[in-house]
Amino acid sequence: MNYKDTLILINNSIGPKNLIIKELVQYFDGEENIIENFIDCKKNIDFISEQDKIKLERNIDKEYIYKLKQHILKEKINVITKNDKIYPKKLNIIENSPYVIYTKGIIEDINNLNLNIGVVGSRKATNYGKWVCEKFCKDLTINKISITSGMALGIDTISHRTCLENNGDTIAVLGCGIDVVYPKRNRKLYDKIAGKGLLLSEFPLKSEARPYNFPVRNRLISGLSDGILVVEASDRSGTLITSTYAAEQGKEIFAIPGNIDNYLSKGTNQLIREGAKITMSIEDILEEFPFHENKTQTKTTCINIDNSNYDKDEQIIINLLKEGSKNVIEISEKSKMNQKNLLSKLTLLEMQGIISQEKGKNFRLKN
Amino acid sequence: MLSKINTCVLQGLQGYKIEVESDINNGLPVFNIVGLPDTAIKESKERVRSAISNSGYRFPMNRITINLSPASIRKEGSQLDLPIALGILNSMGKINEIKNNSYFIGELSLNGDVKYVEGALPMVISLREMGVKNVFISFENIEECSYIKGINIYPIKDLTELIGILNGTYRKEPLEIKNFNDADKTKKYTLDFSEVKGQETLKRAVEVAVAGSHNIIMVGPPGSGKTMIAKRIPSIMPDLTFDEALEITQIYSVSGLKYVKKLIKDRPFRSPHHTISKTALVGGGRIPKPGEVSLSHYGVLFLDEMPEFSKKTLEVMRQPIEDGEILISRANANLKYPSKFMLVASMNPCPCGYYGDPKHECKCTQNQIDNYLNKISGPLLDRIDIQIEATPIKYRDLKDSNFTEDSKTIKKRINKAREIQHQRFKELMIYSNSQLSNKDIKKYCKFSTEAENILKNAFDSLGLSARAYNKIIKVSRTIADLDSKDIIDINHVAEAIQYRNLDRKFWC
Repeated sequence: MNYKDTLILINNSIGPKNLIIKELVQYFDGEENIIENFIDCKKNIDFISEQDKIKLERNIDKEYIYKLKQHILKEKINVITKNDKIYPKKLNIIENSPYVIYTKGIIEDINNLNLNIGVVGSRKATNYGKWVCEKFCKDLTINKISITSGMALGIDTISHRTCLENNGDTIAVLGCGIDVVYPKRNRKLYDKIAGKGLLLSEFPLKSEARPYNFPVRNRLISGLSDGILVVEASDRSGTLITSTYAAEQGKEIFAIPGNIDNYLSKGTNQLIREGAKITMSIEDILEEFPFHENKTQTKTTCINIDNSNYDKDEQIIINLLKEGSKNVIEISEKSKMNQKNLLSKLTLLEMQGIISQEKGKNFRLKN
Repeated sequence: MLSKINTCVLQGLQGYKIEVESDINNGLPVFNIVGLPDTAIKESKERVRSAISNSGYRFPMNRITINLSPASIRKEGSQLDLPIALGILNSMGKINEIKNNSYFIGELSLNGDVKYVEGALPMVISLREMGVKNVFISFENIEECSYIKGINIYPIKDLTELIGILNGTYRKEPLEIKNFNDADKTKKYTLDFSEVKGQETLKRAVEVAVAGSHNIIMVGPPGSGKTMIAKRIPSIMPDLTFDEALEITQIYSVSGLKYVKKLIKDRPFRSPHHTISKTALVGGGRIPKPGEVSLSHYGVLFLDEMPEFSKKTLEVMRQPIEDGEILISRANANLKYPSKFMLVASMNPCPCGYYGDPKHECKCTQNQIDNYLNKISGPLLDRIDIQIEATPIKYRDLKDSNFTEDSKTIKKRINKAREIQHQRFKELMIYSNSQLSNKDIKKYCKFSTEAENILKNAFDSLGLSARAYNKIIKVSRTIADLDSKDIIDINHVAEAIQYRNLDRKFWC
């Protein structure tokens, strides 16, 4: 059996246990020999558990690999193995690097992407986190930086979506099989990324998402990226696992500061204390990559709005929001406007694209 | 000797004439009642026997047969005691004359007193509509019946008094009809909107909702004042008209809620606990009684923590909300009760309550949150015009608030807006903007050109869902009415858009 088929078969039988595969390769002196000789030698192999041996033995059979390959063809999945030219070089140098990865999408060679930032954060982002994530992903995309994330809910979803909206390149590293949509409500996003970006997974085909998959998946997110942007994280979140991997792999960690009373900023603030780069604008990220060529001047964070285009009430609202995002209660308290006037002005400003509304009747000047 | 006495039974709120025929023959002493009586009527034998003997007459030791005609209608209720006793006395020859157009409604106690009857008001109203001139009711029912014009009502205390009146030995004038004047309508509410500080947006949303009788749902974390505001809604509800009051009292009269013995002059505010059953909510039982949706007719039905109600319970409300009445079909009866209520609901955004609150960590998984929100189905949410988010207020805001309107001021505006609606919908037989059918929307909701543009653009630029379209139009009609404007303007539409939060993309 050839090299690629062997790896697909082993991966689909025992999962992405790359260290075991490594030992198998060493033991049999090359991938091609594993399958032919496995049954004869299995008694002597002590680094595979009995369970895995049974699973592997059951699948050593032409029919099984034929069916897998049919499925791969039908689902338009690409299989990339370690020896392939298009195997991401960055993954070669990480610990426990995968022997085989499955991809789906239009980015053919990941090595051609010039700069790649991993964006990670909480599944239940606050309004602040959502805003920051949208803003940074937009700026990153404008600067021709591709974005890698995990297609989970919250920050992950927002970063993929913002990137696609601005026609950037995005890679989603999944914690389940490449042909499985998890979470289910991201079906549309899954299809969009498959059509405009790239989905990537090292897990066996058709495997369901399991909680223990995600830390494993996180090392690929940091592995594929040149730096990690941590948007929001509580003090015991999976996001921190990703940044630990990133630190071990020698990647830059960018953390966005937040209020100390916001529990979803505890993790990021903690990272800053431990030495992550405090990130307040896109310049902070670009600074670390002096060789990145496609820098585009992006707007500074200070928002300039020409007041003369708006009437008195609208100006009051805009000026209040310049101080930061505000709840409708705060706006009405401070502006002393009556409710019917205030609410209609807010809608009108929103429709002109000056402000945006967030959950909890929060308002904020647009990016 | 055979005698015939007229009385009335109820099916739902509709009364039917019943003839009680009684006959005394020679034979073994037996007392029989035929003609589909229910248990309460069968038991009336014993009450009638004692009441007659304790009023000073000898109960005949003969064969007594009572027939309730027409025999096809199922009869229920204790009001048949009085006509049965009267029939027997008439057959005994103790009464000189009973006018043909007289009806008798009353329960007897053993000593001959005439007691309170459930549903006396709807019976009297039905009888009046059928052209009945005289009706004799219990003294205890006069409070609720004293506003009915066009029929002579004689309140009676006991059997002896009634016989005296009928025989002419005792003169009694019919009940004096009270006027439903403004003076006795004003009620002092203990709760007032001026006590709610800081939540001006929520208060405004509620004002709009009440002005157009729109259903409203408030979503927000604990402590954001949802319940506090809902409890104060009765204090700004528009005044009841006489016809409305009468309709509400009829429902309460048949519901068997004993504490309601007079005309109801305030709009009902019902807030059932979330353990309520389907039957209790929409009505039913072996003999169907009105449920909470009917008890809140012309008033407010407040469902606190709406997703805690069982899903099936909530779904049964869809039809009564839509049609304004509910038809309950049981083996024993098909009954129709009105249910034109305003639904006020409140809910947390997730099981723990803190989803989206930056200061508290939400402990729920996304699945839990989805399940929680899914308990309120799309079709039900479709019937709720105003959806507003509530945010917890900081103590600072509570302290500084200086402009808080009281309920009286708000109520004045609402009364005015309702008056405009009454005038506009005179021919349509509806009373508020929320009841506008899609067909009539075009006719009654005229927009300025600018407003129309805003409405068109809103769906693209704000990501509103299409199902919000008609709701926004209806709500902006109400906002324009509050402003006393005939043409809906740009500001009205813009404000109405703010009341559709759950449709927006950012919310999920």
